[in-house]
Amino acid sequence: MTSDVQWQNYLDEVSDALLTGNHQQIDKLRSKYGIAYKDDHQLVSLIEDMNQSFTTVEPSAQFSSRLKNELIGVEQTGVVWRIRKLPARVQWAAIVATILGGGLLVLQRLLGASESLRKEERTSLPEES
Amino acid sequence: MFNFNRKSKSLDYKNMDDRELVQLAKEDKEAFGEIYERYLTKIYNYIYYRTGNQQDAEDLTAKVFYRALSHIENYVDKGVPFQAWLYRIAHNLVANFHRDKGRRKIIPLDDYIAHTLTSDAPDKQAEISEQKEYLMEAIHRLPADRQQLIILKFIEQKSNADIGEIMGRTEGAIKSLYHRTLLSLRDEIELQQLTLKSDQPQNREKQG
Repeated sequence: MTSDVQWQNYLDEVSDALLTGNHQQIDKLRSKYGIAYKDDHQLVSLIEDMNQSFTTVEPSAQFSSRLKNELIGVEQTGVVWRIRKLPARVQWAAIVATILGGGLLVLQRLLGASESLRKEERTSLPEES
Repeated sequence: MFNFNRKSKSLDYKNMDDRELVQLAKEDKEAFGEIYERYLTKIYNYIYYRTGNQQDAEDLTAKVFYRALSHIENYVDKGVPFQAWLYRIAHNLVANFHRDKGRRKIIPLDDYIAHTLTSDAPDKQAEISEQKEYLMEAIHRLPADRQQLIILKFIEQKSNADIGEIMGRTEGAIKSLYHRTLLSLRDEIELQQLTLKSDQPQNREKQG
Protein backbone atom coordinates (compact mmCIF):
# COMPACT_ATOMS: atom_id res chain seq x y z
CA MET A 1 0.00 0.00 0.00
CA THR A 2 1.48 3.33 -1.03
CA SER A 3 0.82 6.25 1.33
CA ASP A 4 -0.07 9.78 0.25
CA VAL A 5 3.43 11.04 1.08
CA GLN A 6 4.98 8.23 -0.97
CA TRP A 7 2.72 9.12 -3.89
CA GLN A 8 3.76 12.76 -3.54
CA ASN A 9 7.45 11.81 -3.59
CA TYR A 10 6.93 9.39 -6.45
CA LEU A 11 5.09 11.92 -8.66
CA ASP A 12 7.65 14.55 -7.82
CA GLU A 13 10.51 12.30 -8.92
CA VAL A 14 8.60 11.21 -12.03
CA SER A 15 8.08 14.87 -12.97
CA ASP A 16 11.77 15.63 -12.49
CA ALA A 17 12.68 12.61 -14.66
CA LEU A 18 10.30 13.66 -17.46
CA LEU A 19 11.36 17.30 -17.30
CA THR A 20 14.98 16.28 -17.73
CA GLY A 21 14.16 13.76 -20.49
CA ASN A 22 14.98 10.64 -18.44
CA HIS A 23 11.98 8.58 -19.53
CA GLN A 24 13.78 5.30 -18.85
CA GLN A 25 13.87 6.29 -15.17
CA ILE A 26 10.10 5.83 -14.78
CA ASP A 27 10.18 2.01 -14.56
CA LYS A 28 12.94 2.18 -11.94
CA LEU A 29 10.85 4.63 -9.92
CA ARG A 30 7.79 2.38 -10.23
CA SER A 31 9.68 -0.53 -8.73
CA LYS A 32 11.30 1.71 -6.09
CA TYR A 33 7.89 2.85 -4.84
CA GLY A 34 6.03 -0.42 -5.62
CA ILE A 35 3.57 1.26 -7.96
CA ALA A 36 1.93 -0.63 -10.84
CA TYR A 37 1.58 0.79 -14.35
CA LYS A 38 -2.23 0.53 -14.21
CA ASP A 39 -2.27 2.76 -11.11
CA ASP A 40 -0.17 5.58 -12.43
CA HIS A 41 -0.14 5.59 -16.25
CA GLN A 42 -2.82 8.28 -16.49
CA LEU A 43 -0.92 10.55 -14.14
CA VAL A 44 2.39 9.90 -15.88
CA SER A 45 0.91 10.68 -19.30
CA LEU A 46 -0.69 13.82 -17.85
CA ILE A 47 2.72 14.97 -16.61
CA GLU A 48 4.20 14.15 -20.01
CA ASP A 49 1.44 16.10 -21.80
CA MET A 50 2.05 19.13 -19.60
CA ASN A 51 5.76 18.86 -20.21
CA GLN A 52 5.13 18.98 -23.97
CA SER A 53 2.43 21.64 -23.84
CA PHE A 54 4.32 24.19 -21.80
CA THR A 55 7.12 25.59 -23.88
CA THR A 56 8.89 28.85 -23.21
CA VAL A 57 7.44 31.72 -25.21
CA GLU A 58 9.78 34.58 -26.08
CA PRO A 59 8.28 38.08 -25.96
CA SER A 60 8.74 39.89 -29.27
CA ALA A 61 11.99 41.84 -29.65
CA GLN A 62 9.98 44.96 -30.50
CA PHE A 63 7.98 44.72 -27.28
CA SER A 64 11.08 44.00 -25.15
CA SER A 65 13.08 46.95 -26.44
CA ARG A 66 10.12 49.36 -26.44
CA LEU A 67 9.27 48.55 -22.82
CA LYS A 68 12.91 48.81 -21.75
CA ASN A 69 13.16 52.22 -23.38
CA GLU A 70 9.97 53.34 -21.66
CA LEU A 71 11.23 52.11 -18.29
CA ILE A 72 14.83 53.25 -18.25
CA GLY A 73 15.17 55.60 -21.21
CA VAL A 74 16.70 55.10 -24.64
CA GLU A 75 19.92 53.19 -24.51
CA GLN A 76 22.55 55.50 -25.97
CA THR A 77 25.90 54.40 -27.28
CA GLY A 78 27.42 57.55 -28.84
CA VAL A 79 30.85 58.96 -27.96
CA VAL A 80 29.40 62.07 -26.28
CA TRP A 81 27.12 59.88 -24.10
CA ARG A 82 30.09 57.70 -23.14
CA ILE A 83 32.15 60.73 -22.17
CA ARG A 84 29.26 62.19 -20.15
CA LYS A 85 29.14 58.97 -18.13
CA LEU A 86 32.81 59.31 -17.11
CA PRO A 87 33.86 61.05 -13.85
CA ALA A 88 34.30 64.84 -14.03
CA ARG A 89 38.12 64.82 -13.93
CA VAL A 90 38.25 62.25 -16.73
CA GLN A 91 35.87 64.43 -18.73
CA TRP A 92 38.18 67.43 -18.19
CA ALA A 93 41.19 65.35 -19.21
CA ALA A 94 39.33 64.31 -22.37
CA ILE A 95 38.46 67.93 -23.17
CA VAL A 96 42.04 69.15 -22.58
CA ALA A 97 43.42 66.27 -24.66
CA THR A 98 40.98 67.07 -27.48
CA ILE A 99 41.92 70.78 -27.43
CA LEU A 100 45.66 70.04 -27.32
CA GLY A 101 45.35 67.44 -30.05
CA GLY A 102 43.32 69.81 -32.23
CA GLY A 103 45.81 72.63 -31.56
CA LEU A 104 48.72 70.41 -32.55
CA LEU A 105 46.98 69.40 -35.76
CA VAL A 106 46.27 73.04 -36.67
CA LEU A 107 49.85 74.04 -35.80
CA GLN A 108 51.22 71.18 -37.89
CA ARG A 109 49.10 72.22 -40.85
CA LEU A 110 50.15 75.86 -40.52
CA LEU A 111 53.80 74.89 -40.30
CA GLY A 112 53.41 72.56 -43.26
CA ALA A 113 51.63 75.26 -45.24
CA SER A 114 54.29 77.89 -44.53
CA GLU A 115 57.04 75.40 -45.43
CA SER A 116 55.43 74.64 -48.78
CA LEU A 117 54.94 78.39 -49.42
CA ARG A 118 58.62 78.95 -48.81
CA LYS A 119 59.49 76.13 -51.18
CA GLU A 120 57.19 77.58 -53.85
CA GLU A 121 58.77 81.01 -53.42
CA ARG A 122 62.25 79.52 -53.82
CA THR A 123 61.32 77.71 -57.03
CA SER A 124 59.41 80.63 -58.58
CA LEU A 125 62.12 83.30 -58.02
CA PRO A 126 64.46 83.66 -61.06
CA GLU A 127 68.06 82.94 -60.25
CA GLU A 128 70.21 86.04 -60.23
CA SER A 129 73.37 85.56 -62.12
CA MET B 1 45.06 58.34 -12.06
CA PHE B 2 41.84 58.30 -14.05
CA ASN B 3 38.88 56.80 -12.37
CA PHE B 4 36.94 54.41 -14.59
CA ASN B 5 34.75 53.04 -11.77
CA ARG B 6 31.46 53.92 -13.40
CA LYS B 7 32.31 52.16 -16.62
CA SER B 8 33.55 48.98 -14.95
CA LYS B 9 30.55 49.02 -12.62
CA SER B 10 28.15 49.06 -15.57
CA LEU B 11 29.93 46.04 -17.03
CA ASP B 12 29.59 44.16 -13.74
CA TYR B 13 25.78 44.26 -13.56
CA LYS B 14 25.53 40.90 -15.26
CA ASN B 15 27.70 39.23 -12.62
CA MET B 16 25.85 40.71 -9.66
CA ASP B 17 23.36 38.70 -7.68
CA ASP B 18 19.78 39.89 -7.29
CA ARG B 19 20.36 41.34 -3.83
CA GLU B 20 23.16 43.66 -4.99
CA LEU B 21 21.27 44.63 -8.11
CA VAL B 22 18.11 45.52 -6.22
CA GLN B 23 20.05 47.77 -3.84
CA LEU B 24 21.60 49.58 -6.81
CA ALA B 25 18.32 49.69 -8.73
CA LYS B 26 16.82 51.90 -6.03
CA GLU B 27 18.92 54.76 -7.47
CA ASP B 28 20.37 53.43 -10.69
CA LYS B 29 18.13 52.77 -13.68
CA GLU B 30 20.78 50.71 -15.44
CA ALA B 31 20.70 48.22 -12.57
CA PHE B 32 16.94 48.06 -13.00
CA GLY B 33 17.57 47.42 -16.69
CA GLU B 34 19.57 44.33 -15.76
CA ILE B 35 16.75 43.13 -13.50
CA TYR B 36 14.40 43.66 -16.44
CA GLU B 37 16.61 41.61 -18.78
CA ARG B 38 16.87 38.85 -16.19
CA TYR B 39 13.16 38.46 -15.52
CA LEU B 40 11.31 39.71 -18.59
CA THR B 41 10.88 36.30 -20.26
CA LYS B 42 9.99 34.56 -16.99
CA ILE B 43 7.32 37.07 -16.05
CA TYR B 44 6.03 37.24 -19.61
CA ASN B 45 5.66 33.44 -19.74
CA TYR B 46 3.94 33.32 -16.39
CA ILE B 47 1.40 35.90 -17.54
CA TYR B 48 1.08 34.46 -21.04
CA TYR B 49 0.06 31.06 -19.71
CA ARG B 50 -2.31 32.63 -17.19
CA THR B 51 -4.07 34.89 -19.70
CA GLY B 52 -3.80 32.86 -22.90
CA ASN B 53 -2.88 35.56 -25.39
CA GLN B 54 0.03 37.73 -26.42
CA GLN B 55 -1.69 41.11 -26.19
CA ASP B 56 -2.81 40.71 -22.58
CA ALA B 57 0.55 39.16 -21.71
CA GLU B 58 2.36 42.22 -23.06
CA ASP B 59 0.03 44.69 -21.31
CA LEU B 60 0.30 42.97 -17.95
CA THR B 61 4.05 42.36 -18.23
CA ALA B 62 4.53 46.09 -18.82
CA LYS B 63 2.38 46.84 -15.75
CA VAL B 64 4.47 44.44 -13.62
CA PHE B 65 7.72 46.20 -14.48
CA TYR B 66 6.22 49.69 -14.13
CA ARG B 67 4.95 48.74 -10.69
CA ALA B 68 8.29 47.16 -9.76
CA LEU B 69 10.16 50.28 -10.87
CA SER B 70 7.92 52.62 -8.90
CA HIS B 71 8.01 50.48 -5.72
CA ILE B 72 11.57 49.20 -5.74
CA GLU B 73 12.65 52.07 -3.47
CA ASN B 74 10.41 50.63 -0.75
CA TYR B 75 11.48 47.02 -1.32
CA VAL B 76 12.81 45.46 1.87
CA ASP B 77 14.88 42.30 1.68
CA LYS B 78 13.25 39.86 4.11
CA GLY B 79 15.32 36.88 3.04
CA VAL B 80 12.83 35.85 0.36
CA PRO B 81 14.21 35.85 -3.22
CA PHE B 82 13.58 39.04 -5.14
CA GLN B 83 11.85 37.10 -7.92
CA ALA B 84 9.15 36.10 -5.42
CA TRP B 85 8.30 39.80 -5.13
CA LEU B 86 8.05 40.15 -8.92
CA TYR B 87 5.92 37.01 -9.24
CA ARG B 88 3.64 38.29 -6.50
CA ILE B 89 3.10 41.53 -8.42
CA ALA B 90 2.36 39.48 -11.56
CA HIS B 91 0.07 37.14 -9.65
CA ASN B 92 -1.94 40.06 -8.21
CA LEU B 93 -2.23 41.81 -11.57
CA VAL B 94 -3.41 38.61 -13.28
CA ALA B 95 -5.95 38.07 -10.50
CA ASN B 96 -7.23 41.64 -10.91
CA PHE B 97 -7.33 41.17 -14.69
CA HIS B 98 -9.53 38.06 -14.41
CA ARG B 99 -11.73 39.63 -11.77
CA ASP B 100 -12.23 42.92 -13.63
CA LYS B 101 -12.81 41.48 -17.04
CA GLY B 102 -14.53 38.25 -16.02
CA ARG B 103 -12.42 36.56 -18.67
CA ARG B 104 -11.46 33.49 -16.78
CA LYS B 105 -13.94 31.25 -18.57
CA ILE B 106 -13.43 32.58 -22.07
CA ILE B 107 -9.68 32.40 -22.39
CA PRO B 108 -8.74 32.01 -26.06
CA LEU B 109 -6.58 28.95 -26.52
CA ASP B 110 -5.69 29.45 -30.15
CA ASP B 111 -2.42 31.16 -29.32
CA TYR B 112 -1.13 28.13 -27.42
CA ILE B 113 -2.05 25.76 -30.18
CA ALA B 114 -0.66 27.96 -32.95
CA HIS B 115 2.52 28.51 -31.00
CA THR B 116 3.32 24.90 -30.18
CA LEU B 117 2.06 23.11 -33.26
CA THR B 118 4.08 24.09 -36.24
CA SER B 119 6.07 21.04 -37.25
CA ASP B 120 3.77 17.99 -36.96
CA ALA B 121 1.79 16.44 -39.77
CA PRO B 122 -1.67 18.07 -40.23
CA ASP B 123 -3.76 15.04 -39.15
CA LYS B 124 -1.60 14.49 -36.09
CA GLN B 125 -1.73 18.21 -35.36
CA ALA B 126 -5.52 18.17 -35.14
CA GLU B 127 -5.45 15.29 -32.66
CA ILE B 128 -2.72 16.81 -30.50
CA SER B 129 -4.40 20.20 -30.74
CA GLU B 130 -7.63 18.75 -29.34
CA GLN B 131 -5.83 17.00 -26.46
CA LYS B 132 -3.88 20.12 -25.71
CA GLU B 133 -7.03 22.18 -25.72
CA TYR B 134 -8.69 19.88 -23.15
CA LEU B 135 -5.61 20.06 -21.00
CA MET B 136 -5.30 23.83 -21.18
CA GLU B 137 -9.00 24.31 -20.49
CA ALA B 138 -8.70 22.03 -17.47
CA ILE B 139 -5.64 23.92 -16.23
CA HIS B 140 -7.45 27.24 -16.59
CA ARG B 141 -10.28 25.97 -14.44
CA LEU B 142 -7.85 25.26 -11.60
CA PRO B 143 -7.58 27.71 -8.69
CA ALA B 144 -4.95 30.43 -9.24
CA ASP B 145 -2.39 28.94 -6.83
CA ARG B 146 -2.45 25.59 -8.64
CA GLN B 147 -2.02 27.27 -12.02
CA GLN B 148 0.92 29.18 -10.61
CA LEU B 149 2.50 25.96 -9.35
CA ILE B 150 2.10 24.24 -12.74
CA ILE B 151 3.63 27.17 -14.61
CA LEU B 152 6.57 27.51 -12.26
CA LYS B 153 7.23 23.77 -12.46
CA PHE B 154 6.87 23.23 -16.19
CA ILE B 155 7.91 26.55 -17.68
CA GLU B 156 10.46 27.76 -15.19
CA GLN B 157 11.43 24.21 -14.20
CA LYS B 158 11.88 25.40 -10.65
CA SER B 159 12.51 23.09 -7.71
CA ASN B 160 9.86 22.63 -5.04
CA ALA B 161 12.01 24.66 -2.65
CA ASP B 162 12.12 27.62 -5.07
CA ILE B 163 8.41 27.35 -5.82
CA GLY B 164 7.77 27.28 -2.08
CA GLU B 165 9.75 30.49 -1.61
CA ILE B 166 7.88 32.22 -4.42
CA MET B 167 4.47 31.06 -3.22
CA GLY B 168 5.22 31.48 0.49
CA ARG B 169 4.76 27.78 1.35
CA THR B 170 6.94 24.94 2.56
CA GLU B 171 8.50 22.40 0.21
CA GLY B 172 6.24 19.70 1.65
CA ALA B 173 3.15 21.83 1.07
CA ILE B 174 4.17 22.30 -2.57
CA LYS B 175 4.59 18.54 -3.07
CA SER B 176 1.19 17.94 -1.55
CA LEU B 177 -0.43 20.69 -3.63
CA TYR B 178 1.17 19.26 -6.78
CA HIS B 179 -0.18 15.80 -5.99
CA ARG B 180 -3.71 17.15 -5.46
CA THR B 181 -3.44 19.24 -8.62
CA LEU B 182 -2.50 16.22 -10.73
CA LEU B 183 -5.37 14.18 -9.31
CA SER B 184 -7.91 16.90 -9.94
CA LEU B 185 -6.60 17.50 -13.46
CA ARG B 186 -6.82 13.78 -14.23
CA ASP B 187 -10.41 13.64 -12.97
CA GLU B 188 -11.32 16.81 -14.84
CA ILE B 189 -9.95 15.55 -18.16
CA GLU B 190 -11.65 12.17 -17.72
CA LEU B 191 -14.95 13.92 -17.06
CA GLN B 192 -14.45 16.18 -20.06
CA GLN B 193 -13.80 13.21 -22.35
CA LEU B 194 -16.80 11.31 -20.98
CA THR B 195 -19.04 14.30 -21.55
CA LEU B 196 -17.80 14.65 -25.11
CA LYS B 197 -18.33 10.95 -25.81
CA SER B 198 -21.88 11.08 -24.48
CA ASP B 199 -22.58 14.24 -26.51
CA GLN B 200 -21.42 12.76 -29.80
CA PRO B 201 -24.21 10.11 -30.28
CA GLN B 202 -26.83 12.74 -29.31
CA ASN B 203 -25.46 15.12 -31.93
CA ARG B 204 -25.47 12.39 -34.54
CA GLU B 205 -29.08 11.57 -33.71
CA LYS B 206 -30.05 15.24 -33.99
CA GLN B 207 -28.25 15.55 -37.32
CA GLY B 208 -29.88 12.29 -38.56
